[in-house]
Amino acid sequence: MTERKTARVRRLGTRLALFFALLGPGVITANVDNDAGGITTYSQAGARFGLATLWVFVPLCISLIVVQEMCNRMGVVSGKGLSDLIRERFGVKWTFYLMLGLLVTNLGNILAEFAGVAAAGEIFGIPRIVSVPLAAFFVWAIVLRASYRTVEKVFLVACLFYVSYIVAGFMSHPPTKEIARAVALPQIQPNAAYLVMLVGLVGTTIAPWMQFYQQAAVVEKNVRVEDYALSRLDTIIGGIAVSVVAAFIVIVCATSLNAHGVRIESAADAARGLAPLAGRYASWLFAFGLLNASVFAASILPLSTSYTICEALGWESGVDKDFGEAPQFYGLYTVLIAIGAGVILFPGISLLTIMYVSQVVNGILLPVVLVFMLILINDKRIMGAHTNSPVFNGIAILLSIAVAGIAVASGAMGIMGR
Amino acid sequence: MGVEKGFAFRYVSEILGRRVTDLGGGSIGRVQDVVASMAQPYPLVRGLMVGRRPGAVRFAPCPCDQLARLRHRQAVRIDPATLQDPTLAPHDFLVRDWLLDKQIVDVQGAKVERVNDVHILFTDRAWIVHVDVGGTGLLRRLGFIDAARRLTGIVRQPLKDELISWKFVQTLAETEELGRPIRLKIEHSRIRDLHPGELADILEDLGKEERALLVHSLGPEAVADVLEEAEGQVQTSVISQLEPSVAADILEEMDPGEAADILGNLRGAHTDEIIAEVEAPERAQLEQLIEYEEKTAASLMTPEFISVPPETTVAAALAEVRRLASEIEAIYYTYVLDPQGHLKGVTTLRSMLRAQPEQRLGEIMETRLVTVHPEQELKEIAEVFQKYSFLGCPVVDDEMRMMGVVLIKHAFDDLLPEFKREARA
Repeated sequence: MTERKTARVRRLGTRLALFFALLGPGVITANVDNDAGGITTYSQAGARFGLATLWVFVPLCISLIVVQEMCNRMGVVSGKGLSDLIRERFGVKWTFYLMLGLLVTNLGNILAEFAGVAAAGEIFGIPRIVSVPLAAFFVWAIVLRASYRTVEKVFLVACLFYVSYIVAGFMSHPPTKEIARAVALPQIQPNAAYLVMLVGLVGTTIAPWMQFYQQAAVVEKNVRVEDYALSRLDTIIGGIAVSVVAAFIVIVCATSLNAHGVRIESAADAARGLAPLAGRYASWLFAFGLLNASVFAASILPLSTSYTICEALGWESGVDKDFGEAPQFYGLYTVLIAIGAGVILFPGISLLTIMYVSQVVNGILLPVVLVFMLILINDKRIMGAHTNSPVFNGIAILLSIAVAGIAVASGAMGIMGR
Repeated sequence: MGVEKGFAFRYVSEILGRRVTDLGGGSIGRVQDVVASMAQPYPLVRGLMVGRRPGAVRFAPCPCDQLARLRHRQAVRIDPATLQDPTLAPHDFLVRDWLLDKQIVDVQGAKVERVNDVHILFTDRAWIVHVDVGGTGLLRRLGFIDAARRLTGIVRQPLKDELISWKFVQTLAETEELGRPIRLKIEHSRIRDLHPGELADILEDLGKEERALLVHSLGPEAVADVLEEAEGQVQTSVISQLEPSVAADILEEMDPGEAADILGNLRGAHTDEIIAEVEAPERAQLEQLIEYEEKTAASLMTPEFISVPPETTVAAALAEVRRLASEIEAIYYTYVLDPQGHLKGVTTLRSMLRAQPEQRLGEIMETRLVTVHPEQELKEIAEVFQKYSFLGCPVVDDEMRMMGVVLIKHAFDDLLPEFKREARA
């Protein structure tokens, strides 16, 4: 009896150990999603509309998990990255223009991350001329000096720091009852500004780089098909965690800023605005969260972009190669960081223009990626017995249409916004 | 690219997607794919798949003369009467479907590459002679080649092709088409010539299906040889990719100490599955080795060594060494054990070669023994190797029963930092 119990405990122990070994791709991808751009949008949503956008995080969370789960599964089953599969299935032309688009939209995101570093640094009294080059060097060196496994551990620790937003949320004394009602009873305000905000929330939460990054990361981890259930759990936990953190950002801004009618333009505004309302520590926590998120995303995006593009075009890639072996990989990586950090240091260049272009390209790119993903995941030659089930396929297709439609709308808004 | 001396080169990207007409100029469709047949040394281009959509094609025997002379935008003319059913013969493969944009192994450069284009030689027939893996091929596929040539012409840096001869190409496709599995021929002999470390790198770079295909076709022995030379991380990643029964077959072929290290580095659940598949005698040994604590003599040692009773003659002992030389690593030392397995002495290969064949080992053996205990740690083992410059050191239990040998070769990676520390001190 006890023997059986110990055996069960031990089996649970190995399962748990295995889960922690497999933890990473899903959780990291989801958390990077709460980057500088994401935090800005969530802050704006809370400050402007209070709790009225809170319900959207429930369907958003489900969509995110459905989309990322498909990439995760493709990575585990095929052992190949998404860009590899697209290249092999759809040929070089589709791949090339897709990669070009990914480069543009990711560059926009990288710029936003370094802008986030600059803004968060200034709240702590660090001038951007110091903080941005420091962050850029840190990001650049981390890849040159460390193996991916080490980097991944650093990233997982960075994920923990997102708790700062939840702490900040409780410091702002949230009205529990109203929050529950806002989540449970979705209400849509019939005005353009509100709808634009909803589109913005979806656009910032589901982005093409996430699919490429997560699939590549899961391939790198060599997850076996037998252990897929645990790997899927990683994706689900990531999706839920990111949505909870995002919801807390909205709650913080809703209960303090919105309640006092403070309007904000950026996440840094939000952090500053919090100080007189929720206290200095809440403000610092908020700014620290922004700094962490920006540096974290700035570490992942250039790496993921270079990796994806080099894989697709058949160039040597990977942090275990040296510069001579993988010149395109390191060249691209360095240029992306240099541009990302450089532009922020030159006050003359309009960040907004670049952000708009990035948003438009993002809107075009995501539907294409989703369609390709749906074709690939239903291809028996690639997925064998692990294609989508009919029900899941139905859900995935519906959600993809909705997400793609919203992404196109978001892109169109980018054009009109100019 | 004119036709001189009866031959011409073409890229498959110049042929794919071309308009196809009948003799009167009426449209048949486009070239959807190129059919080639596996042959030595080069695959023979048998014909084209033509039609309006990739899904609705007919087979056209290779119009080689025309293809060799094709001009820019010129259509391929085919007599509709020659069109056949698009059924593939046993050694046929589709160039676009199975080769273009896919991974191949460049055996000479020992790298995994992606095929950007395929180079065809036209004589009286047509042969696939090279694959293009370079940037020029990429530009050609994207339709930027003319613009790129003009640009590079200005700076006088002509574009270079990166072609790999088909002789050094290892294809990795296995596809089921038309209800029947067709497998591209795997030339093991070429792959076997690679340095094991290189092959391990190649396995790392491949997708799951390709990796399994390569491992299966090489056989467990060859893969075991490869893995013994590979780094720890590569070892575990390769083993963890494989079915437990295949992994077990490979581990059985490896040095038990090395196999135990790999299993020790694997994540818990896999180890159990794989060990369950290992044959009984090896299994007990492996389980024992995995139990030992890391970085002790017991974990570093191999349980395989040459041992003889003291009354053995030198001639018989040498014969024993010769018999076991292919299986056992530690052949320089022959250990003299009593019937209970207690270590009595040791002889080196050199001392046996210098002795008379009829002498007994008990007479010539060295009896001042330097041994280590299974629980002794790396630092102490390093000191022993440092002090005596041994190639290997026997591991004995409290009663001097011989358990195994720590070879400097196996322990070197772990010992190196210790040596450095000693040198500094």
